[in-house]
Amino acid sequence: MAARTLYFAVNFSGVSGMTKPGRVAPLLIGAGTMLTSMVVAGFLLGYVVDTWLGSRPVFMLICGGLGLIGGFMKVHKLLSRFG
Amino acid sequence: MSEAVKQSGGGTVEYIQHHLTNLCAGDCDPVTHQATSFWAWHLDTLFFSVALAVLIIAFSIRLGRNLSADAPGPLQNFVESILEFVAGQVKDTFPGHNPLIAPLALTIFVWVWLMNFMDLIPVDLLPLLAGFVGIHYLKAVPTTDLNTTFAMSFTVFAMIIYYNIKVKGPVGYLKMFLFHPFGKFLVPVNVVMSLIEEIAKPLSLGLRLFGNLFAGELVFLLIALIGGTMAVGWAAAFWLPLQVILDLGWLIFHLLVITLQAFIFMVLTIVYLGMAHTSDH
Repeated sequence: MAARTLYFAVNFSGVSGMTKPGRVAPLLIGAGTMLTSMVVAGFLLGYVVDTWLGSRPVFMLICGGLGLIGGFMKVHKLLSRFG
Repeated sequence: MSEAVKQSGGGTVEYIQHHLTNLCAGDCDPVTHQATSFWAWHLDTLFFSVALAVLIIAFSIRLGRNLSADAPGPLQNFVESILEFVAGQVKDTFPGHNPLIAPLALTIFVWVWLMNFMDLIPVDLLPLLAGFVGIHYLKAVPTTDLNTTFAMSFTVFAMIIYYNIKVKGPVGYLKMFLFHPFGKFLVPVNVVMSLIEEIAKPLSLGLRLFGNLFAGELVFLLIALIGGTMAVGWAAAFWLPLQVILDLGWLIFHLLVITLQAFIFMVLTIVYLGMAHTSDH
């Protein structure tokens, strides 16, 4: 149960109702890093694709935006366990 | 601005830069001592991380030879409590069974904690001792070097990919990229989003540990500079008690930070590997 709570807390496909805040608490410290690393990872991926296609900054912006959305989704999923 | 103030300002910057410069060998800039290509070695980082690993191994071998089931000593009790703590975390957060995970988690926790602990040794002590034997640059905390934290996070990342392919199969792993998180109608977005999510794992692991420890080291250096102002004039000795109090306060707080960072690195490694072991991603 706890394993699944943690697993879903850091994943998109969470199942509502599986809440055990004590187990997820340590991960909250990483919420900020989770958001920033998703944005940075998005920009990195976009940078690689742009370098490959010579289309800078199109994919950097698209992937950066997707990283931001994904980061928000992950952090929201994590924080909603405490809501 | 007077000359003395200018000099003290320059000295301050120089002091911090000096303490944050690694002992570089190989392709390094002769002036800045920074790596100029891939083939540069941070000897201090390598030395301290390997030395701490050897310490763990030697300690474990010695403890292993003196184990007692009937009358465990205080050291054995202490190690057993750490073992039980880590085993409990693995049991709680890791679905399925893999005999490699608990030893891996324990190694990560103890090794990262010891490398972080180097931050609590007075910032000037080891560079001063190294200076006596002709080593002019020394950064004693391996985890304040991005090379260490990324080496560990990329190793964990390689294991994540390996177990994903092993448990889910190549097709199952590919499906994860195609249909997650928005289902089958947004495949291109899913691929990009999943790729970003996967890349973010080693990034966040490595950057979190590095950022916390680097910032901690920097605060120690800034506190040490309070005493450093005595070089300007002995009247500054008035501030010495402040340095002692601040240093002690930050040290106690940092003890919590280094433990927490080692713990988070360990827990996230278990969680990520746990995600790789579940087929319902």
